[in-house]
Amino acid sequence: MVPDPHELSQLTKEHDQNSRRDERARLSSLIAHGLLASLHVLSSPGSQAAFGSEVGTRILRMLNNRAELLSALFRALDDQDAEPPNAAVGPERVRETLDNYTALFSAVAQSFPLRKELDWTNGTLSRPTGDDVLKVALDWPSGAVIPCALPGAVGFVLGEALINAVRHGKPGTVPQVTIRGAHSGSALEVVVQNECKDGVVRTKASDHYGGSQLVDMLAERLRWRVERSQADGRYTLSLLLPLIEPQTAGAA
Amino acid sequence: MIAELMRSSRMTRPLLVIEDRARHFDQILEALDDLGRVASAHGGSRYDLTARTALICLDGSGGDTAISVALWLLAHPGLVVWAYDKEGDVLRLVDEVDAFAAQIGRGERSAVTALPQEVGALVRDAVDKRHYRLLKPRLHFVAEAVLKTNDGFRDYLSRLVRPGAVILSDVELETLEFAQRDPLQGVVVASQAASRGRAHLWIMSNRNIFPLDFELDTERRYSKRNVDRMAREVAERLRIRFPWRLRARASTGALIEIHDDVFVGPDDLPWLNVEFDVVLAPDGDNLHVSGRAIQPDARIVLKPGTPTLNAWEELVREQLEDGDGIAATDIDEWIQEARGTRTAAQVIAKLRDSFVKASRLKHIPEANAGTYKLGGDTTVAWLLANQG
Repeated sequence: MVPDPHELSQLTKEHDQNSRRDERARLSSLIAHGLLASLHVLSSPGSQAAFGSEVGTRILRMLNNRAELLSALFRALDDQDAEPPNAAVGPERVRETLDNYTALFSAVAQSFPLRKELDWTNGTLSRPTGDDVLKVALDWPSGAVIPCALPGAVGFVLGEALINAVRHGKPGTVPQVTIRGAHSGSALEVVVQNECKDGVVRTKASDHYGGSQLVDMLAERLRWRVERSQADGRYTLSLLLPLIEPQTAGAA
Repeated sequence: MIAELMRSSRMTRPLLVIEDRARHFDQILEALDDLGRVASAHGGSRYDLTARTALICLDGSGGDTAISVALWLLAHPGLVVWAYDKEGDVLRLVDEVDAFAAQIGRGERSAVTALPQEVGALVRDAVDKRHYRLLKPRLHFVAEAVLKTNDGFRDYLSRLVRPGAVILSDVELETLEFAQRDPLQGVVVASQAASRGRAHLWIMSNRNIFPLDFELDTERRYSKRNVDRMAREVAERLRIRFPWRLRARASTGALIEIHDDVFVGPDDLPWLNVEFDVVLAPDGDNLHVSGRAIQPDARIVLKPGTPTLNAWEELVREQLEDGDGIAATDIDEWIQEARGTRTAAQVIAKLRDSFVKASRLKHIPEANAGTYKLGGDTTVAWLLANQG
């Protein structure tokens, strides 16, 4: 029997709508949980004193970025055919994100209640190593930017990689983030590494609100490459993001 | 000997809480503590559930776990913690805390400490309020090997639980090596251990706390907000099942060990009678005397206020406190108070007849017929009805 093209089209449309609704529900649940968890930590007793106004402001800015990302994602899911926003992320934005996380990590390293509240206990921040909480090597190909259809996605993915490294890294060690050009300047490689903990009792496999799931979902949507590996006692998360000349991208 | 026995094969606390997140322990301990306060506020006697609780902390090893463990032990003077401590962070911190408390206790108020701020403040407070209890004797370690396999963890838990005990476990114990692929494996193993040990298992998820218990109605559900209801249920169960607190004296060579914080009930009498020479246990209003040094066929149940009961209690108390024994003149006084007709010599003869070997009860001749005491190597256990 040959199916009625109209019926088939209706069925396909319905299926697409259901898939979109499912994806939307999954994303909103994951991101909302992350936002709520962060707000909960911010409002917990002692957090304001531990963070101080400067770090608090940086955290609020990061939360704002996440909310923007959420909004952009929903717009993209609602209307698959719409022209995606043509944002571009340059080295200043990435440097700012790294500074924000460095400030946050420094504050959390000083506060046991915050590490517990954030579920970052027994990670790299639990044993002080001088002033260093994150080693950064940034060698950005001159004049290039990352095209990004989802504003906030670069900061979000980088942040999740860094949080993962401090949570699961060996106490007393410092995670390293290396950002450099790759493929003759047509791509940007972001490598986040941490030393692994010893012992049979592991840190929780799944994190608090599915951060790694979100990273994978965003990367798939944006056609970024994500690789995770573990060797010689080190855990490595590598991201490969496309780079373009700024004149081919829209306003950031 | 008894300490080793307790550590290796008997759980000293009848409520065993298994969690893989330190902050979940905070919530549970708060709920257990609240329960005691509520009971107290309503005119009832304080029932300290945390003193009946042992935590099995699977939050990984590290400095933050050490701080958590120290804070729990400091805030709850009766609590016992079993921790996985691969790097030795917990033991190191606990030693430092006990040493700092000793310094403060000696009056060295200006002692400087490298302890984390929140820990140091709690130590000072506990010492000032005179409720500091050493942390180290209440800290035990979970061996790495038992966390690697289902069988190992099951055997380990089975050794810790006693019939009637309660295990409260997170539904997903994700930090266990054998549960990496399936976090539910942890609670499956806990249920097997509970079944094997005739204990009761309660499972905690993010939304519910509910009993997996063949004796209880499994349809009942508890929202996390109502964790205090769970605590109340558990308290009632423990109050019935473990009504006594054990005071015991056992000797290991020159070392005399006194234990006074082990909770037991009637079902524990068989093993106590194997482990101790003399066991005194409540039997309604009466006192039941048993133990491996007591004639196996003798059923010694004594009424309150009788000279024989007084003599047994004082003999055991003196043994626990390493005292001089009971004077014959004391026995005469008890006989007079009870308006009895027997003599002190008859009471002593009755006591002596209770033993398999009469030489257990020593006579130290002095003026006024001297004193009587149990032989120095006699191990004793006194089960006291506990209210607190």
